[in-house]
Amino acid sequence: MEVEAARYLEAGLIPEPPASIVDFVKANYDMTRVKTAMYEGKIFGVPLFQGQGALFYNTEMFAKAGLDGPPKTMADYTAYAQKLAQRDASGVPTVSGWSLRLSGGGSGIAEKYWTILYNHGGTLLEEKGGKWRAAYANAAGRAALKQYLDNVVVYRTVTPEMKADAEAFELGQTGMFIRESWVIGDVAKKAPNLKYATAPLPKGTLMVSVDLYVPNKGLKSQIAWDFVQKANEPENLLWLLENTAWVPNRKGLDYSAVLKKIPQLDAFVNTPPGHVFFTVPAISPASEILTRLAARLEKAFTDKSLAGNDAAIDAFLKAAAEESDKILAREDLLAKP
Amino acid sequence: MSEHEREHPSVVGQNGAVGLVIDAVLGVVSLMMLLPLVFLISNAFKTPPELLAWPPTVIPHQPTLENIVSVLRETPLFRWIGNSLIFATLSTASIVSTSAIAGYVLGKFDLPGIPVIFGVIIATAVVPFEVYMIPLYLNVQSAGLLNTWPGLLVGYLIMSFGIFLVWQYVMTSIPDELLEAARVDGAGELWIFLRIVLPLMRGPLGALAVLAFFQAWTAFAWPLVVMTNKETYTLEVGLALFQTGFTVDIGRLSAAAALALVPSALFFSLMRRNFVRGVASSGLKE
Amino acid sequence: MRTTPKWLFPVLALLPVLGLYGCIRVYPIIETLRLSLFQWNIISRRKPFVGFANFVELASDPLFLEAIFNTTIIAFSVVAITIPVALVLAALINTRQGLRRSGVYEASVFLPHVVSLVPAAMAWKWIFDARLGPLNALIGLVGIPAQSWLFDPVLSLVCLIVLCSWQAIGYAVLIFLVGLKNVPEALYEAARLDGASSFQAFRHIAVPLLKPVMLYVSVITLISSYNIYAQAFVPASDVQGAPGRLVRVLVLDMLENSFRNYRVGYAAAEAVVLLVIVLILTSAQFRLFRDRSRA
Repeated sequence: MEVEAARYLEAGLIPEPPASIVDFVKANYDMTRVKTAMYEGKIFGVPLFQGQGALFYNTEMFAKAGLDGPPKTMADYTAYAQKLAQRDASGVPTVSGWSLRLSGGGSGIAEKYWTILYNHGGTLLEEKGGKWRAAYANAAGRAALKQYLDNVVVYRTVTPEMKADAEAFELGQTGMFIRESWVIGDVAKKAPNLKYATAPLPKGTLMVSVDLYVPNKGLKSQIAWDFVQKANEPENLLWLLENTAWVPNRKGLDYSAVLKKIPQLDAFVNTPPGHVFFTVPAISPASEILTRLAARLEKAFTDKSLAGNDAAIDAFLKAAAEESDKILAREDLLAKP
Repeated sequence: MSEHEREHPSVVGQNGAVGLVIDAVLGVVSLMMLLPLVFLISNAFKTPPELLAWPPTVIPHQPTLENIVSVLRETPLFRWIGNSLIFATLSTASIVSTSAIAGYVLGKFDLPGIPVIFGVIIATAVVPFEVYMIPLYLNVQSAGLLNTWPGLLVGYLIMSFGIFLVWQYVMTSIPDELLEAARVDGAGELWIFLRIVLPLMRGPLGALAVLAFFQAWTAFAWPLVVMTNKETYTLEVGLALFQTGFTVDIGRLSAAAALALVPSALFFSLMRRNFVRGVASSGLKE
Repeated sequence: MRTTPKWLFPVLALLPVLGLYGCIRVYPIIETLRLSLFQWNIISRRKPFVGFANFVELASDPLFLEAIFNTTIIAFSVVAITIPVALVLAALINTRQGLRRSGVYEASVFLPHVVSLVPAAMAWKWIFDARLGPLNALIGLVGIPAQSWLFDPVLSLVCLIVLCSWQAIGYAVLIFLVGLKNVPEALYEAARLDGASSFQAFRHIAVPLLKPVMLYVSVITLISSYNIYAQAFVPASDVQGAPGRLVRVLVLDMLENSFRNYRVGYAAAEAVVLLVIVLILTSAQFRLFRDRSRA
C-alpha cells in the first residue's frame, strides 16, 4: 500500500512513469486521491482502488430490537449495541451488539480505534510542517477509549472471546460491525441468505489506498504500464467492484448496474458530502507506531480499573502517546507542539 | 496378537495383563495425538457453510469431495509435493553425509582446535534460521541463484544438530578398541569409516534422515523468499496461498494439508522400517 | 606401502564440511551480529552506525521484555513436559518393538511434528474454544467451570505450551527410541537373572545409558522452543478479528521489527540477546548432564 511504497520511493527504487501515464492519471482521478501515489510533488503510480470502512448491520436483528435505521451518532452506537446484545440466562452475551476489534491482527486494533476516534472528533497522528505527532491523548481519545470500555466492561455488549468481525456477522452472532467493502463478497459466498444493510460512518473513515507502480525501466516496463492502464478501464473496474467489492478510484464511472445487483455497495461508492477519508501517513515508522499502540490497547480494552476512571484513562493515553512520539523522534519526524 | 517375535528380554509382558495396559495407554495417547489431525481431515470434506457451523462437526453431515477436487484442479499440488520431495531428499542426503563425516572426525580424532570448532557449531546451532536469513538471502541473490535448486538448498545443506547427534553417538557407542584393532590390521582410515563406522551408525543416521527430511519438508520462510515462481513452490509455501488478504479458505487448505499427510506418513513408515532394522542388525553385541 | 600421516584423513574429511559451514552459517550469523550495531531498513542506502543504541533501547522496550518472559516460560515448560513424557512413551513403545502395532504408535506420535501448522492450529483453536470447545466440555465433566483458554493471559500460555509439546514429543520419542534400541540386551538379561523387575531394569540400566541422548533431546527441545514463532502467531492471527490473545514470543517480535517495522539492526540486536541466552542455558545443560553422569 502507499505506506509501503513510500520506502521504495525514498530509496529511489521506483522510476517515474512515462508522460502518457502521468497525463492519464491527471485526467481521470481526483487529485486528493492521487496524493497517495505521489512523492516530492511528482506522480509515480496509478490509483487502482481503496479500502474504506462503513457500518454493516443485520436488518432482521435491528427490526427485532425495534431499531428502524442505522445509528447516526457515536452515542447511538453504544445505545444500539445494548439493545442488540442477546444474553443467556446468566447474563453472558451470546450475540454481541457491536463487534469491536478487541484482539488479533497486529496493527488492526489501532486502525479500528483510529476510525472510532476520528468519529469522536479526534485523530491519531497530526501533521505540522511535514512532521508528525501523536494527537490522541486528549478528550476525543478518552471518549473513544471509553466507548470500548463501556461496551466491553460496563455494559458487556461484547466480550473478547466471542466470534468477531465478518465471521460473527455471517453466523448471526453480532448485530453490527465496521469493516471494508470486501465483506459483501464474503457474505455472498458464505451466508447468501443474510439480511443486512450498510451505512456510512458519522464523520469519516480510514481509507487504505492501493496504487500500482512499475519498479523498473526497460523493455518490459511498457507492457507493465499497458497492464496498469487496462486494469483501469471502466469495464474492468466495474468487474472488480462487482466481484471483489473493492471501490475503484477512477472518476465518472457508472455504478447504477452494479448497485442494482448489490445495493449494499451504496454506502461505499456514494458517501455523503462532507464525509472524510483519512489515511495512515506515508512515513516509515507508521506501522510500528500502530502495532505498539495496538499492543497497549488490547490490554486496556478489558482493564476493569480503567472503566469509569477518567484519570487512569488519561494516564494510559499519555503514556501511549509518549511512546508514539518517541518513535517519531527517533526517525527525526517529530513535529513541535 | 498373532505375530510372535523372538522373546526380547527388553520386552515386557508381550501378551499378559501388563501388555494390555501398555497397549491401552499407547492407544489412548495415539488417539489424543491424532485428534487434531482427524479434525483437520474432516474439515477437508466439509462445505463452506458447514465449516462455519458451530459447534463444529467431527463427521461431516454432507461430506463433499468439492475441496479436494478443486485443489487438485486449480493448484499444481502434485507438482508442489514433487518439489518438496526433491528438495527434502537432496537436503537429507547432504545433511546425513556431512553430519556423519564431521561427527565421526570430531568424536574420534584428536586434532588441535577441535574444541573450538565444536564450540562454534553449538553456538551457531542455537541461532534461529530466520535471524540470519536476510544476509544469506542477499548472498544467494548476488550469486544469481534465486529460483534455482542450488539457491533453495543453500539454507539446508548442513544441520548442526546432525553433527551433534552423530558426535554423541560416536562418543558413547563406538569403542576406540574397535578402530584401533582395524588400524593394527592395516586398514586405511577411509576404509574404516566406510566399512566399520558407517554400518554401526545406521540407527542414528536413519533417525537423522527422518529429522532432516521433515525439516526441509516443513520449511517455510526460506523457500518462500527464494522460490518466487508458482511452479517452483514447495508444498508448504503453496499451502500458504489458500490464505488471501482477508480470509482463509479453510476447506481447501485442509484438503491440501490432508493430501500432504499421505506422503509424509508414507515416507515416515518407509524410513522407520529401514532404520529400525538397521539398529536391530547393528545393535552392539559385546 | 607408503604410510600416510595420521592427520590427513580427519583434516581432508573435515575441510569441505567446515568450508560449507563457514559460508552458509558462520558468515551470515556474523553479518547479523554486525548489523546489530547499525540502523538499517533493508532497502535504504543509508545505514548509519549507532553502536550499542539498539541494545540500550531493547532494555526498556516493554514488548521485547514481555517476549523474553513468555518465551522463557514456554521453553522451560515444553522441556519439562516433553522429556519425561517422551521418555515414558518411548519406553512403552520399545516394549512393543517387533509388533506391527509399534509402527502405528510411532507414526501417530510423530505425525504432529510434520503436519502443516496452519490447518493444525485451526483444529487446536476449536479444541480450546471457550464456549463450545471439547476441552471445556471435558473439564465440565469433573465440575471445573469453563475457561477462556485463548484469552486469559496465563491460560493462553498454557495453550501454547500444549501445542508446542504436541509438536515436540514425536521428535523426542524418535530419538529416545534410537537410544533405547542401542541398549545391549545382555544387560537386561543380567538384570533379569538378578531378579530385577522390568521397571527396575529400565530405571537402572536404560536411563543411565540414555543420559547423552537426554542431553541431546533436552538441548534441542529447549533451543527449538526458544525459536518458536509460527505456533504463537497462527492461533492468534486472524484478520477476521479475535481468535485469541497474541502471546508475544522472541522470534515473532524479531520478525515484526525487521519486516513490519523495517528495523533490521534492531531485530539483529534482539537476535544477539537470544543467542546469548540460549548459549548460557545450553552450556548449563551440558554441565548438568555431565555432573549427573559422573555421580
